[in-house]
Amino acid sequence: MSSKKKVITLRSSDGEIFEVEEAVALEWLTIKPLVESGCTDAIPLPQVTGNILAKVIEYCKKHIGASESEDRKILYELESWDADFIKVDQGTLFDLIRAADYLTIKTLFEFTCQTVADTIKHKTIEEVRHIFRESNDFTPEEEKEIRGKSWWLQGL
Amino acid sequence: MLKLLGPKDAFRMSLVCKSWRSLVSDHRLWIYFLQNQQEPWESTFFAEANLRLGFPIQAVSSQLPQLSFMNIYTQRKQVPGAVIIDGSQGRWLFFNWTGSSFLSAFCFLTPSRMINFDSLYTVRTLKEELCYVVLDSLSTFPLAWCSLKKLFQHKSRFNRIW
Repeated sequence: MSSKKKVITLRSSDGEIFEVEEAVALEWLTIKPLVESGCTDAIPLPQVTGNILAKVIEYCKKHIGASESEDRKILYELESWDADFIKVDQGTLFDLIRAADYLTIKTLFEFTCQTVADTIKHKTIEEVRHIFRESNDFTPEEEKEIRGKSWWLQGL
Repeated sequence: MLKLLGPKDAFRMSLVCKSWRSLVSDHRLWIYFLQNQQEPWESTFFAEANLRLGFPIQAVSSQLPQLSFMNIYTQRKQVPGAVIIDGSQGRWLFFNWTGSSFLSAFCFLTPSRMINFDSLYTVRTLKEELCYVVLDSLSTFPLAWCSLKKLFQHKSRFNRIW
């Protein structure tokens, strides 16, 4: 990291210290005011663990400036980089969503949510329950009632 | 995330469990879907919030909690541009064919055939039994009678005539 660029220090919930460029930290709307106020202490992020924070930083560093690029090659590379980045286990994916929400990082939040949405789209209800560890708490009557209302969906 | 799924898959997710069902029935989600349709949202909202409640037009704010935008969405998917209204003399069905102008045609069942329009199946199977009134303002009716089938067939002509 260039020594000339202003660096922001962050502390994860498990006490790990991270350094990011100011430009990256400014994209995180939750801490933006702190960064702008010229805070020099390590900013505590009690809701994000070190391993997730590392992933978040990795994503934001890659995306800073690149997302707005109009160069097709760069965008294409970014897309395939994203595809690799998001090949994580489900727990990590959900942690990333929570972190992106907590830190208010719009790009990462949209990307991770879209990833989950794309996954769910092609799953059966039973599979979705399994993914989210939900169990069917409907009575057969209630389930029938909902299915009755869903006749406008084809192939349910 | 439900927004990203789109209306069909979002609705499907209400089958997962009770807490998901309550998430899916969130008004904001379905207002979002309704707003992202061809039909102007203002027209949809006016029709659903005011006309559904029948005559006279009611203040919107106090009645809003009774509306389920999820149901509105699903009903409108079946009969585009339609809203089911409780009228004082029976059950009213509102068609909004002109898009931006709300009042195109009203239909109602004759008093002896009053039926609860909870399902649009009812409307469809009963279509030959329906009577139709066309309005150009809420205060003046009825003007014309016609069968629904004919109405569908001559939709465009019908709009011109009236």
